[in-house]
Amino acid sequence: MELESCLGRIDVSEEDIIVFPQGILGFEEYKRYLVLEQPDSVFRFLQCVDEPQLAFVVMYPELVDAAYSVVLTEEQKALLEIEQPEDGVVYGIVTIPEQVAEMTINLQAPVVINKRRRIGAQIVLMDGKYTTRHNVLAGMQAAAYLAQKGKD
Amino acid sequence: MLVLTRKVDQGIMIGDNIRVIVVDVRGDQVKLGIEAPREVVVHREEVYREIQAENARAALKSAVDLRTLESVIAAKQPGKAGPSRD
Repeated sequence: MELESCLGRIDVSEEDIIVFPQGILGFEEYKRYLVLEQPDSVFRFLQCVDEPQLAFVVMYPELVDAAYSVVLTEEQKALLEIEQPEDGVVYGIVTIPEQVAEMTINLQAPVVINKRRRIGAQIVLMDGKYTTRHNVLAGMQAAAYLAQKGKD
Repeated sequence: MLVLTRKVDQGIMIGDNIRVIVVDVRGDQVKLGIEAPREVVVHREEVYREIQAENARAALKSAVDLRTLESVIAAKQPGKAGPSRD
């Protein structure tokens, strides 16, 4: 199957498709997505298969907040069919405003994907630690600083 | 809007498989229990609206070149050369 994606025309194989049973909040009618990678980029595209015009930029949250972790509820584990932590991959959705340097990442509602079963969900963390807008550049600078300090 | 009066431990059915029960009432706080199928998302309304709005902002309006994003980051990272390094 061919798709006009944000990386141009691509050939989609069925086994790359990730099904989001609940969709993405606000876009519930679309259930099928792909994660598109580009070499040498920390960013990826979460590209909708059902609606080629719909795509998000995502990245690993721990690049912005090294201590970031997600604890899934039993219901979320059941939805994602996650049996062991290694099954799960966590992405944060990035919002890119006109001033690109002001881009933010949503750490309150990460996208969790069971890479083995290819099931995804946007889950909402209710512990009050994270918001929908964390500055990406400030977070990456802090994370890089801490990593550097750890080495000294 | 349909308005129903319920007591603690009483519930309502929404369709065939969504059940909402009043678990507890204290002052102006009502504790609700919700049973719904897995594919139905249940959230507090204000949280739902905020995340929905952020997703709408994040959905790409036009093509984005990831290299542009990378160059913005490279310019700000310590230890990497970039025009706005300070």
